[in-house]
Amino acid sequence: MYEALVIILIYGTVLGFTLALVAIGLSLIYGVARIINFAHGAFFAISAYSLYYFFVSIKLNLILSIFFSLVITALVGGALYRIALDRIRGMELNEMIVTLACAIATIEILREIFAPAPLGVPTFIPGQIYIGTYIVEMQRVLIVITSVISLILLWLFIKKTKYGIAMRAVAQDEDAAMLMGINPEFMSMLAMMVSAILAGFAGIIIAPTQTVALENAWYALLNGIAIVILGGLGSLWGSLVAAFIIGYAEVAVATFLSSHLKTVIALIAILVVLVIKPSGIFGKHRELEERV
Amino acid sequence: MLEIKDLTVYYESAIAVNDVSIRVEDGEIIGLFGSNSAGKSTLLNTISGLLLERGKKELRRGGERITIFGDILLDGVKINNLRPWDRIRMGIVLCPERRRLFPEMTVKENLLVGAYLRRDLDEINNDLEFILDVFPRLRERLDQEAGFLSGGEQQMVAIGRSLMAKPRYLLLDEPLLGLAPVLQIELLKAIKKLREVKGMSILIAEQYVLPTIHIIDKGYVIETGVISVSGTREELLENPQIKTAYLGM
Repeated sequence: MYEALVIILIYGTVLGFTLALVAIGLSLIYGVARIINFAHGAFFAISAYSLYYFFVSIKLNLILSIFFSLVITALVGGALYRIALDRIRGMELNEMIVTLACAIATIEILREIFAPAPLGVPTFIPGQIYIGTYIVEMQRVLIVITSVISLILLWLFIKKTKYGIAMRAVAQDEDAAMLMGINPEFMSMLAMMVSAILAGFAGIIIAPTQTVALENAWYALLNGIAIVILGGLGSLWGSLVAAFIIGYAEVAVATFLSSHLKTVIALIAILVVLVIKPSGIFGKHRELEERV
Repeated sequence: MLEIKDLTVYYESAIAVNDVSIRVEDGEIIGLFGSNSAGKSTLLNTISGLLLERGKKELRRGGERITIFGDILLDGVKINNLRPWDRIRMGIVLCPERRRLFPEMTVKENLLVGAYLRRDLDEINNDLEFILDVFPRLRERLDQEAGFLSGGEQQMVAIGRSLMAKPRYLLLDEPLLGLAPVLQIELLKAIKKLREVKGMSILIAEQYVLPTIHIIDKGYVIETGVISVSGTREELLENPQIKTAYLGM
């Protein structure tokens, strides 16, 4: 029992951080542009496959591979917003249909370009460390460290930079932001790119610990949506906390029951939250009032 | 000079502003008086460009169509179709009705967002200091979230935020709304001081004619979208219709 708890703690933390990157991206684009982006999981897959291409296929060095993969993911995110979403912003149903269509299209294109079978990416740094008597691969330590750094960078961006503050302004009151000279369309595109980079980075750092497969895109999307709902739509802190709740829960289910069942956790979370407290743990009252 | 010429704004169901012409000369304070839903906000939102944006959005959502006729001229140049940020660059800044602060940002962040389009970073701090001198009460509130301020303080932040954009023409939409009479007088004095120090032109839309009329140079009265009376402050104060309807004499 004790062993199982340690495993849940270690693996849950690693998973929690990865999911946090995915979900915070989803939360960010919802907060700024009010878009529920079903193509979010596609970003996760695009960056993982790009990494495979640069790092494994053409054997570029790691840092460059990661950099190029993130650039590609960000550009896809920006293009998705500019070409498809800009014109239909505010029409929620259309947004959902378009983003879902883009997600499916992206994944099928990836399937066409790369082999349909799952691909492998080598670990970024070899070796392992011992936590007590438990072995943890360095890759997982790296996931935690780089995730923390990314989240801090994101926080600094949102809190301290001009564009970060402008993004929050759009999220809090779009009309007032326009009266300050902020172009909400530009900010939405920027948010989409940042959001794509976050999901993409998660896809990259987690790639060596699992296989690069197309299903991961749907797994990332489903978990992302579950976390955002659990944490409260548009609340970045809520997403962070909820990511760990889902992360620990999934590892616990995988440990005690079966790893096939862990995806069910996300669905249960969505169901329970929507029935009991639709605004989520950190959801703002305002959000609900707007809807009523 | 900011000139509104024969401006008409239709919503699908009604005319909000009907053939309105207004001139704001440089350095003037102009009053735009009228009761609720007389068309004041529609007029200011049209000048700031916000209504055009809303119109586009509404149209995409299949909502009410908004149609705008007439001209908005800045120094003789038509700005009808410019987007809000371009108009702000040209110096037209609207401080919206009900303040519309960013509730989860601190007072300081709110003020700094106002300077979003500016490139002159050194000047921004001077302007921040100037605003804190005009509204000393904000100094101790700088790091508080704007959503928790009192109504008067929120209005000061809202005006300060608009001032950070360095307006040539400041449009104030019901700045006195929800303020205690003492605060209303205090705020009007501050607004008058702004004109004296910064030399900007100010257009105030208000339903509280009585305290506001004392700081204006010229005024217009708008009723159901139409300008019914206009003139200098003295003329308005002598106008029998205004005396009975708005000044209670």
